[in-house]
Amino acid sequence: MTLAVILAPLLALCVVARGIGFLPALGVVTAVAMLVDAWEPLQEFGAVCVVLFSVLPVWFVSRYQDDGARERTGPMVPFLALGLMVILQLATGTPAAMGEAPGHAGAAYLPAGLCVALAGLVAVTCRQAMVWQWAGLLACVDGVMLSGVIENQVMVVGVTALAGCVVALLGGMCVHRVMLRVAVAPAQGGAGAERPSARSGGFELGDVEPAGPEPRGLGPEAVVAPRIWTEAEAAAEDEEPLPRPGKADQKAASPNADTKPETDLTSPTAEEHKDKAAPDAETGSSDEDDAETAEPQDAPDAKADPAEPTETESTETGLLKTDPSEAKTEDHKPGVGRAVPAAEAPDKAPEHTPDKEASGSTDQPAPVDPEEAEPVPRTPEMIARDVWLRGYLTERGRDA
Amino acid sequence: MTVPVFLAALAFAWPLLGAAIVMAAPTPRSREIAIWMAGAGCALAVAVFLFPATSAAAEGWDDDPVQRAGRVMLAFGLLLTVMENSTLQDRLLRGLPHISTALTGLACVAPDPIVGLGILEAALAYGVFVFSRPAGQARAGWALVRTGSVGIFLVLSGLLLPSGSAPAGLMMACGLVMLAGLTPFGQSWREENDTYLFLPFAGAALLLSMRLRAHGGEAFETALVAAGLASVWLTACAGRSDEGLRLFRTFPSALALIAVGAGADVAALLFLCGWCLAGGNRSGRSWAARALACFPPGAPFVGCLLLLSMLSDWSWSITVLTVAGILCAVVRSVPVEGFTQDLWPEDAAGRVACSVLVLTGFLVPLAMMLGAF
Repeated sequence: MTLAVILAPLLALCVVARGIGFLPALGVVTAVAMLVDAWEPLQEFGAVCVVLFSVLPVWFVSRYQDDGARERTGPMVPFLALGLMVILQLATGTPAAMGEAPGHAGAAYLPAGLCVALAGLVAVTCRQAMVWQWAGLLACVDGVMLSGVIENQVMVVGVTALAGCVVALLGGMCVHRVMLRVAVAPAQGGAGAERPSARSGGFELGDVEPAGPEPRGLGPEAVVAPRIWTEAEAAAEDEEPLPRPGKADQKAASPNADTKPETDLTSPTAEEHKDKAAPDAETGSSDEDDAETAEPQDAPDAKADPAEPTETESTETGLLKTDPSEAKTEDHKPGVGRAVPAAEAPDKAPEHTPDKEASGSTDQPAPVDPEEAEPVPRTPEMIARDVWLRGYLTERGRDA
Repeated sequence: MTVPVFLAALAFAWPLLGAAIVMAAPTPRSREIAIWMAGAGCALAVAVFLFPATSAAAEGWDDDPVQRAGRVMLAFGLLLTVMENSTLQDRLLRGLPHISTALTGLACVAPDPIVGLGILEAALAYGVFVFSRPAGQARAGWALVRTGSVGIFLVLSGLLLPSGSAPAGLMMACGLVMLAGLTPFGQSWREENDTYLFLPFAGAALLLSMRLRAHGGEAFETALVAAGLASVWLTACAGRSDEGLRLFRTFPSALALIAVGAGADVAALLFLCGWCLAGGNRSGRSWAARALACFPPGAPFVGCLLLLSMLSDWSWSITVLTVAGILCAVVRSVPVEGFTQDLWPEDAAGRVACSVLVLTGFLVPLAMMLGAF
């Protein structure tokens, strides 16, 4: 028995308690535990599979935004896993239990692989977030494969590798369909070069702005979002009954704002203003609740009244994942029409971190409004994006 | 290569060939072709049952007569699924019942049950891929993958523990109950097209559980009987509500698991026949509800008699509990019109199903007396 074998169940408990973040560590430790005893082809295959199934999904998930699903399961779940591990250890690990079984005559051992698998099963069964369940299933793969390698069962290792492929591929497909991509905006100007700012990949406007026909340089007074903001605010407050002073202030200010009909032309300016106003994308406090993060329309109001807004803006920006390395991979993804973010923002307001582009848009619930999209010449990329978004919205609606 | 070996190989390859032809055929003619291919598959399965490849057993491929008869039931389930469907536009969905039946049949015959589990996982993956392609189905597909994979990992964990130990038996029983989709424990499969994947998948899980009994030991059998009894009594308690009807869909698999736990393989085979021909989303029709509720004549009725005769040797208290549970479930859960209406169904699929159910109910005890099982 090695240290790695003992560490593996602990890391599996961490996966149950904290989520998918511990999965790469679990995979590496499991691979080490396999390779420490012997360096045969079976062990090598198992170790490679375990590392692949643990590292690749986590890397894949890191390209998507946290869907913000609130976990309703209590803090007892890791203890349930721990209790099951102890029961398994008592039932199988003691010399008395294993004495009569062939192959384990009299030797006390820790069924580490099965403990990891049990922890994974607890995570799958008790956790509600899809990513967490995925992590649990992958922990199961790790555990069963470790156990199969230790017991030298070639068939079990092969079948587990197949099952791991299935779980990883289908889980990745599901993640791709139900979660939003994280995208990083290209640096704008010299001032923004050193500060990464992340946005949701579904609603990039910056990519199409240069080609757009609209004139630049509209002042902040052209922003018409307050009307929208109040509606979305009311919707959010339905979910979050606790009154918050910041919101109350903003609400009081909103009727004074300009209420002329909303145009698409405002959004580029709003975008630029906001980018300059946001002090630092990295320093937002991320302990805001969902209702707060679901306020895409805070931003325009902030611009209309530049005295108070920076706190909410930095909070929003900080909630988004920032990863400068993603900029190149995401930049080729074209933006969508103006109407798209507008539809997206109210649709998944309670669950997703919004993007700032929604500030310059309407609150029409239709995913792609032809009247809205008309002024902008639709490129094939935009059409493809609309199709994707329509499917995405249907997905969210039905799953909800 | 002798003729029986060739027949056996052909019987496994046939549904895959059928899937390829059905998917390639033009849409208007696809249903007709699918019926012909599935019918030929049934004939091949019966031929394999009658002329077993004796040399295959020496090479490790399973040659148990109950398993062969179970594959005949899976083939008839495919035929019935194809017959009661209208013409499908989606090519992948059209080929899915053929492919899932082929893979589950291969899983039942694989030399090692572990390999069978792997093939089941592959069948599940393909089915989920086909089901979850339309927009809005991603999470439903994920739920299927999750439950099926949990079941498979549980069985694998049990197989890794020492043979005959209590944890091994419990883990394998839990996994098989989830794979068989027993209602309170397994997943809620989707109503509209569960027969495409669910019927052969659960049938293969039942057939595999017979082969895993040697490894599971006494705890495995007890856990299977307990799970089956729990499902039967929950069905009885739920009554005719929506939940009750959902429970009633898996009534034959609950009885089949009790039979597997009690060692009554032939009874489990007869319940499997009822499951393949009348289970799933067919259970709403009156003839199917009557068959599932073990009304004579029909395979589940004969299976019920066999099961009770075997159970009484096993344990009297459990026999009484089972009889009471079945009677309560029949009285409380069968749809009211199921008792009287529609003695001979109108549609061709229903007629085929009724005929096969009655024929199986007569032939299986006859074959048992002749020593085939």
